[in-house]
Amino acid sequence: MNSATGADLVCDALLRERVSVLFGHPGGAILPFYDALHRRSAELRHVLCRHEQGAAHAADGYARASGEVGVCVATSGPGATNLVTGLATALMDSVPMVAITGQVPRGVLGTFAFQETDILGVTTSVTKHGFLVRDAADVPAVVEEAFRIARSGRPGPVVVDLPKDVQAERTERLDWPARVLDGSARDGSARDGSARDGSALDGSALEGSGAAIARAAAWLERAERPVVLAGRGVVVARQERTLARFVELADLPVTTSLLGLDAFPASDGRSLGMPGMHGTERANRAIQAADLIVGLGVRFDDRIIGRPDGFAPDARIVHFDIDPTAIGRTVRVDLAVVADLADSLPTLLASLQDQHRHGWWERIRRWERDAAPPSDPALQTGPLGARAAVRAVARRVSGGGGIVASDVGQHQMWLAQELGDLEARSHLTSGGLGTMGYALPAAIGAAVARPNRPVWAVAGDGGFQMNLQELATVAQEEIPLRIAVIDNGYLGMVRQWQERFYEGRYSASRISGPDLVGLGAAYGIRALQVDRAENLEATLDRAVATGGPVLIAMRVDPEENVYPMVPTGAALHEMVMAPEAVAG
Amino acid sequence: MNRLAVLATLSDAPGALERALSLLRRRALPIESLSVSHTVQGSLELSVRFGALTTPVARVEAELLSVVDVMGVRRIATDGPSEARELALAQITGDVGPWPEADHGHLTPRGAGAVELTGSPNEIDRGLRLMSDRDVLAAAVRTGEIFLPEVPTGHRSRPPEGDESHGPARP
Repeated sequence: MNSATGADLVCDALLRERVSVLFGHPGGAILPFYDALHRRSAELRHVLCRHEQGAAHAADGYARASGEVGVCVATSGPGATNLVTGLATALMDSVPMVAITGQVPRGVLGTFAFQETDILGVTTSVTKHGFLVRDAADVPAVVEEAFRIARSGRPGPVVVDLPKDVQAERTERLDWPARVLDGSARDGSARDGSARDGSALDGSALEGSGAAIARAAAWLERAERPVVLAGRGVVVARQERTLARFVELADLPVTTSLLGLDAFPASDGRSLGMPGMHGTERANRAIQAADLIVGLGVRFDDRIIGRPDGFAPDARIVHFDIDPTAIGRTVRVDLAVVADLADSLPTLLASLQDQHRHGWWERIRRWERDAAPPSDPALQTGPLGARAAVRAVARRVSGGGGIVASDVGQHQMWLAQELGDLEARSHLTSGGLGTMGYALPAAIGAAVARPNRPVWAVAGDGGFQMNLQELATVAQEEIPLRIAVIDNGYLGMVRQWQERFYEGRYSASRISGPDLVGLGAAYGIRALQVDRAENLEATLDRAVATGGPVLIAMRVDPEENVYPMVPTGAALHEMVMAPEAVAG
Repeated sequence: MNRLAVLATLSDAPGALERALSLLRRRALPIESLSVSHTVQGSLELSVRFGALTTPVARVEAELLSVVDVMGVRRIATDGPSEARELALAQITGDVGPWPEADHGHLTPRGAGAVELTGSPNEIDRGLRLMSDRDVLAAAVRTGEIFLPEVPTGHRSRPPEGDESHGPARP
């Protein structure tokens, strides 16, 4: 009999799913799997992260940069629970991931055994699905199913929990059937994770795809002031080129969500940039003046729409999305097309004629001419401005065909405002969950996925300190990351809100940190520091020329704010401009 | 406000019920009644009657279908004659007296000091209230509603993979 252990079967199954890299951290309950991994090290590369949260974010970054499923591994108990933030981050942003967790042996499940946690229970609300494997013979089917669920419909994370004795159990190594699971409960029709056809929904706003697409086309033809709002769904469906043809044919202005920044080139004359809380003035004005909003693979999340009943008050809203639960979640939707954008967007494009909207574009160009200047003076000398520092990094990312992972906070918004053209799957950020500590490990994953592309991590000094242990991973794996830390000595966005909404009471937002140059040296990573505007470009040039991993400590103005800003509870047209811009 | 009762069919897999109920909790959907049973096909059937919903009915169904274990959702009409049934077991302290079965449920003695009451939820309400008014009701437990729809309105399940109605799968 050709027998194998459950752990060997996991390796077989991963290879069958074309997995080549895993990000993880070993421990007692996952040791049989790591032993199998040792035997398969020529085929499966393991990147040892220093914390399981780092492993989860690295798998997330790998998935976003490659378009494939990211895989992370952790042991039972604390190892598994450390994955939770990474899983939640992936769920919110529709990132396909499979997390393999060790578990205590079957015989002691539920006994409060050492390092036991009910990880499926813990992760129920932050994953798309989860499996506890109770028989080694089930491993091939479960892993195949986990990957299918992670990829399908709206992508997301799936946990596969493996008791230690299941990993060690020997079973017959069978030929691989196309579909191993049987029974109606687990057949293909029941596993999608989301209905994919609007015909499955019969609410007033939800129609069959064909009729809905035809109606959307008719509405577009009649619209005088339409605006496209494109999200990450365009990238997930690999429809960036279709989007470009669509907006050209229908003569449409395009706004892109934070997660959709790499869906459409910023330099294109049709791009209005990102709308929402820290969006561009022209994007917000266009949405508020529009008579038709076409949402493509976007969630209309609260950071984009502002006050829900004040969003696009004169517009009908058409929503294309694969996830039926996204329809009408935050804003009223007049017409929904619940389908894969890979199907629905080409169909919409094919049904359109050449359209022109000169009057609408004249109005938009007028807004652009009259727009407030950038909120920072961009001085060439003197103390380094925060936005200026981010702008310089953004220019190198976009100009160099780079990939960038940003953390969460002020620098994230400045980067979103300053990034130029990006290839698809080149902008990685935690848009939904807003996870501080994401950038560095996600950039590691991206660099492993796309080794021939320059990869940047941009973080504030607060978020950077949440996962800086992954510098050791960078050093050990010799990953040539360019890590820019925007160091203002504050939890910047918290401080900005405290300044604006809490009368300047800076409660627990002042933050100290390590000597970043010394920290880099301690980890064996070259580190540079810049705190003067006149040294900015030269410092970044030296960093880029380094070739290997490099840490750039950017000491910036501690109290610079992000503008424009739409206060919570305000509508998009009630955005607040920079005080100096208004005064000037 | 919408009213909704649904029958959700779940695979009888570990964690399936937890995932479905967790979703209802996360979405803060108001549940008036909930019961779970096995079907002859070996799956689980979750009967849920929601209270006043601010969420569109179609999206509640879509949310339920987003749980991988949920195989189908059938909507039960709540504005017409319903086949909803419930069972109550009551502990009594004396003779309940003549029973107006027409609108107070069907009463069956279950040994000393106990009766079984079956009927629609409204009938159960009235029956228990009557026992209380007659000062014989000591305690009662109720199962929650179960439904047998006369017409499977709004029956939905996921389309099969490769169904031409939603086009080819993305490579």
